[in-house]
Amino acid sequence: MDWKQGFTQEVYYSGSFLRLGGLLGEGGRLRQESGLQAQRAEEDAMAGQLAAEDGREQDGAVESVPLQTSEGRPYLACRGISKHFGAVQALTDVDLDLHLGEVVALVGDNGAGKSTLVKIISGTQTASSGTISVEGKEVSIRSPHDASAAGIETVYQDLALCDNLDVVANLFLGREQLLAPLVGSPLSEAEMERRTAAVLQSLHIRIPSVRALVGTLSGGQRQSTAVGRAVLWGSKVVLLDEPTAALGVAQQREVLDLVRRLRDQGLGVVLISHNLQQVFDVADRLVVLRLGRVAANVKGREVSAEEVVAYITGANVTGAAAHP
Amino acid sequence: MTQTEKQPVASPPDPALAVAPETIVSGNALRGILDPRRWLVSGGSRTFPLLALLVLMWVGFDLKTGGIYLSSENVTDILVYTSLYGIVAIGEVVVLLLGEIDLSLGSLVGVSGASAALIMTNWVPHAPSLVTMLVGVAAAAAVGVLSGLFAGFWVSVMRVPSFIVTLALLLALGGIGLVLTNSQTITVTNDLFNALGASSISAFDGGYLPPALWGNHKDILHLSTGMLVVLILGIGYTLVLLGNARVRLASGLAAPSAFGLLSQGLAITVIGLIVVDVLDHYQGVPLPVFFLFVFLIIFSYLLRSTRFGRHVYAAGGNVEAARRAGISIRRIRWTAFALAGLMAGIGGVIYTARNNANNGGTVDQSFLLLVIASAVIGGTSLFGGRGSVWSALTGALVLASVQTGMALTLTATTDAQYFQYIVEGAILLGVAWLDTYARSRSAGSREA
Repeated sequence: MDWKQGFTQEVYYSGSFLRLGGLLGEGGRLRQESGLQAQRAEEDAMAGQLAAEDGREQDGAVESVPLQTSEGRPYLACRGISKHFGAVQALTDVDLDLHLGEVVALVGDNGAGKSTLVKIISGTQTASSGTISVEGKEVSIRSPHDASAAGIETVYQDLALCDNLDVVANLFLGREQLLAPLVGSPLSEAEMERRTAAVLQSLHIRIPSVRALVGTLSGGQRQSTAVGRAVLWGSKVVLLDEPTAALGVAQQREVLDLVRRLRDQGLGVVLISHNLQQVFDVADRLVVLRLGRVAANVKGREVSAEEVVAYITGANVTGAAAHP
Repeated sequence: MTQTEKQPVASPPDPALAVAPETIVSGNALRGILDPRRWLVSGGSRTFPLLALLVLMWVGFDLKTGGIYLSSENVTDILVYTSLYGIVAIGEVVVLLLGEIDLSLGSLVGVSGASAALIMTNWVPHAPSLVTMLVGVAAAAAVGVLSGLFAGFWVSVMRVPSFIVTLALLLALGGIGLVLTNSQTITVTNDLFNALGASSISAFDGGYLPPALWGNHKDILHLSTGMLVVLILGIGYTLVLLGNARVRLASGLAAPSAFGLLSQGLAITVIGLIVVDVLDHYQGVPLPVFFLFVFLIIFSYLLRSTRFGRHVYAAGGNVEAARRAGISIRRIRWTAFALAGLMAGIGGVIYTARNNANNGGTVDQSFLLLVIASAVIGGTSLFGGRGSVWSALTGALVLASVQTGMALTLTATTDAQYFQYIVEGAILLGVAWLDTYARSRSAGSREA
């Protein structure tokens, strides 16, 4: 299975590499980091490598390395996150930073720990050890509710939408607005519809009608609806778990455009994807997980697809310090 | 949706633009409501076939019986049977919307009715008539709610499938009814209680909204109590429609025209007045029919317009999504079974009052199946999330129409009953097929 994975990624990469040149040539509309920051990114990546190699002892060292910061302190900072299920170590000492207005792609092979990390940040699982800070303050995220309170919303792979309800009802599910603060009060449908329309408009999300049942929408529209819900609730950070899996090409583009719009509106996005081409398309930074550790933490434009594949698979590539 | 590719990416949202009426989303808000696919998914595909079926049956039976079928007396009969099934079916719909089922309602109708009859005859026989009646109703409702809470506990807390829990309860309650009554028929002598079932064939004023209020009810121009009720409800409904439209316009949303809403309210009022006028030519609107509509309106509001109702649909549509949205599935399930029990308790009152007696805590064995069939024929899905309480009305109306029609056209009573079940079974299968067909069509059009 492993060699197959590697093979398909190689093939993917050779295709995306050509594209990559074009994209970078475009002039990095959104990549405004200075050379110094780029330098720091590299250091950061290296530090991540070292930490991953040496395990917990490097805890302090990682934090002492300056993080690449385009806007100072990261909004979301995970430090030394570990998670084990019985004897199985799913995550070891993982650090993750996310700034507002930044898209971080979480990549890695199956079982590398991407989903576990997202579940920990979104509150559906708790870490065995490690801390999560939001705006510099350590927070305890023990439930999805805690995550929402901290401005973190997750769009799950299976979307968590009710097909039998319309878009408005789905966006406000569990947080319906009432006309009066009484038990049994009628729902404030007009107000909810107005706010739904406003948030979808602000994200350029196109759907036939906010009163269309979600079951009648296309895959891309459903994904957009789920993202719209996260944005509606004033989240600062949106976690997207494989948002383009099972979508057609046009719909994938729709969703990737949406990811860029989220960033341009000042949100932080964590994107899990298997598709390296998409990752290079939208991500400012790549965090590569391998066997539950951070194998690399690099700027998207400073790394070749080849190197990323090497990080993912653990293969040795000249210049890239992949651990054995 | 490839249009979005060319969208400029950077521009931050202009707050004024965000609510501009030309936005693709809000401009077509009404299209969503009028979209036939929405009807398909929400079970609305049933409405027109069912109406056609009803009209065909009514005309056919009326021709066959030489006008007896659509006489005031028989229409009264049809509607009383409709409310017997319909009131209990309302509770079943709430449970079905969650994707659960309550099989105990049949036995529960008998046991709650028996409790009412026993308490009225043994414990408060000398109290004033009104008090006795109220105690009886309260007892039946309490037994219903308690049984519902019990079933809800086992389903929501102990996580036993509702089919099993309520099947067990169906059996147990059947026995409890026999134990309570010692398998004797308990006759209820309280006239006020019996009036709740419009049982009094002899007494003119027993259990009907009186036809005489203003003018002679044989004249075209008259006002009966039932008509007054219809007028109040019709005007209230129209005002709610207009009020909603005004709020929508004030929020910058598209709203249907006032003319359209007025005609909608008027149409419903006129239909109501015609039905009431037909009933007035016999004895007036039977109280069970009045209660049926009261409960339909209450539950329709509860399910369509409140947070509880929204959560019921959500939990029935995608329980995981509802849970992630912070909805307490346990509380919703528990409440739903309690409400179903309550409606079975009310049904027990009406069933017992209708017969002036409770027959050993039991009801006809077909009662439960007819209640479930009412909900399903009306368009409520057995898999949850789709349907409405109005399906209890249409489904029960279809079954009651078949039942009375068969009883009138077939001379032998047994024949009528046998054929009634065959026809009802065929209708159930037919509409279920229609629904599956419509859904496969709508699924196909989504993929296209």
